Amino acid sequence: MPRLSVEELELSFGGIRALNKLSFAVAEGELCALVGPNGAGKSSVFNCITGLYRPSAGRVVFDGRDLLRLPAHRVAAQGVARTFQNLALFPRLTVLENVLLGGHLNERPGPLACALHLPRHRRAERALRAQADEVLALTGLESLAGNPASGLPYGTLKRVELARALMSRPRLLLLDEPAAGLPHGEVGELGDLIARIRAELGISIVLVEHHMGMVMSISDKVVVLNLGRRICEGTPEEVSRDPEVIAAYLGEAA
Amino acid sequence: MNKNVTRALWAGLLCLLALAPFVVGTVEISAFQKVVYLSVAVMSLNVLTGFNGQASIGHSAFMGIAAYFTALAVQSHGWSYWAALPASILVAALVGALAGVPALRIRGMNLALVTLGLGMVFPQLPIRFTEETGGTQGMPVDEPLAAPAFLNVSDVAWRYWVLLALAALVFWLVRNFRASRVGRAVIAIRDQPIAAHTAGVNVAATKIAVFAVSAGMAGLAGWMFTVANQFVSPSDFTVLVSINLLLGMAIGGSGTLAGPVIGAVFLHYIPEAVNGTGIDPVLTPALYGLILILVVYFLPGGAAGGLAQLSARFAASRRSPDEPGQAPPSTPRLTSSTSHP
Ligand SMILES: Nc1ncnc2c1ncn2[C@@H]1O[C@H](COP(=O)(O)OP(=O)(O)OP(=O)(O)O)[C@@H](O)[C@H]1O
Ligand SMILES: [Mg+2]
Repeated sequence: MPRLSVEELELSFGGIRALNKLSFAVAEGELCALVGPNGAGKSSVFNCITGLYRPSAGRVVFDGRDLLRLPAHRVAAQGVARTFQNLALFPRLTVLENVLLGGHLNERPGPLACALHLPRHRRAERALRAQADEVLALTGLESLAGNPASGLPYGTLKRVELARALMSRPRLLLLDEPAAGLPHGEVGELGDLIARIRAELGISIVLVEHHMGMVMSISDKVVVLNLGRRICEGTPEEVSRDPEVIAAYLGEAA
Repeated sequence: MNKNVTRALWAGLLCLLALAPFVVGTVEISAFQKVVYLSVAVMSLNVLTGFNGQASIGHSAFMGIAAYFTALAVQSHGWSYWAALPASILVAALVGALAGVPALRIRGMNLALVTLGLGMVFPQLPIRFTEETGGTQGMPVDEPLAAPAFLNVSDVAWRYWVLLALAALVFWLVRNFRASRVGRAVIAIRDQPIAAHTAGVNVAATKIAVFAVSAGMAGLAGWMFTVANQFVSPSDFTVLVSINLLLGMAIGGSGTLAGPVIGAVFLHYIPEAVNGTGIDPVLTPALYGLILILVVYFLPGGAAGGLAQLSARFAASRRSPDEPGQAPPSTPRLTSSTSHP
């Protein structure tokens, strides 16, 4: 049984069919790339999986459970974490606090324990701190922990968002164009980091990315979308030889 | 600033304030009482608006509900102030939770308008029930919150200490909460509700809970109002009071810990100072407006934000020059302005 299976998703905005009977599956520990031209529906898939958009038909099954009936915060509780195409950080919190928020469901002292500074809250805070330190080390952000999240370089902020997503110890990680806007030198580094995360944590990853070099070098499987439909699926080599893909995507965009 | 230094400063300030009744007269202590309950009121608004990003021009109503509840309970039903304390907070919090429900669907300007409605309606209620409340004339409460006999202190000093202790407790609770999992979630909702939601924060439930807690805190300020003044009237809880609380929050520093206290000092002493200079008090609102514009323009973090920047700069200048100082952050946009994720 695949870890994630997206089945026949349908999503429309007014007259636009953003997703058209879209299906694909991701196995446990697999790194699946989702590529396609602008407007193909890649971010919309993420928004459906994470409970932000409600598709009109179809299913999203994660570990045997249909996610489509759950609100976004319950989807997170199932072990799904994501980053956003446009940064969505908390600018007035520090880097550390941004990452800690990713662990919102890891430890759950209630409001009263927090306000009264009860031992339960202090223990939770220590545990979260230790987890955050690990994630910060993995993403190379240790030295920036105390900085406010505003005012850091774009590439660093992208890593903070990745760290926040990792903090929840997800079983499925959705990355929406993590390399977009990075200076060329950092793209390779980020690719290595993603490959390492997959290797060390053994989690399933869905990667939406326009950087074909990175996609082809680290993915196990590539799903190609165009106009909300899956036009091709296979290993990086298979996909890069597919004539329909070359026509629809690589031909015009690359 | 160093955590221990900050802590010592607050403790020292609290001690000084606690000793005030031995040093200054009754008039000053009454003024201090007012600053104390205003601090709690501004803190309550700060939790809702400063930390959670939900606007309210209705906090005068939450204060008023608890103040009238206390006055009626003590004067007409023979309750003690202490029994009225939790009850009045609970009533205000309950109304706040109800007010928080529409806040789930509406935001920004429209939410401000709904709470404005609440703030406008409230002063009409005592007038509608003039028989019980004295209507526009207001309602005196004969019984004071008396000092326990064995302490052998004046009632004024006792009331002041009670108010001060409760306010300090609230301050401590807010401080703990700010540096906790729940506080981070509350701030995250203000900055990026969608990202908070996908990180597992139950945004709707949290927003309602914050509304209730904030209203309950405003209710505590209302209880304090009745204790301090032994008199309530509709004109004490008009929309203008709400607007003053917003003003105090903005000037003190919204979303900061110390800001509300600074804001409360401002709200009480600036009008006094204006009177002292012999300027026509009619001009006070104009002066407020001017100060507000200047603060928003030059000190967007309010007085507390400005102080924090100063002390950061001070700390940086004392560090060795090769160690990078934490420059006060400029704020580039972290978030895209498009509405969909
Ligand atoms: N909230 C929305 N309201 C209206 N239309 C939307 C919304 N979200 C997506 N769309 C439309 O759905 C289609 C798919 O958009 P989506 O953002 O999923 O594409 P994408 O593959 O992520 O593109 P890009 O590479 O540019 O990020 C587009 O036509 C887009 O305009
Ligand atoms: Mg997209």
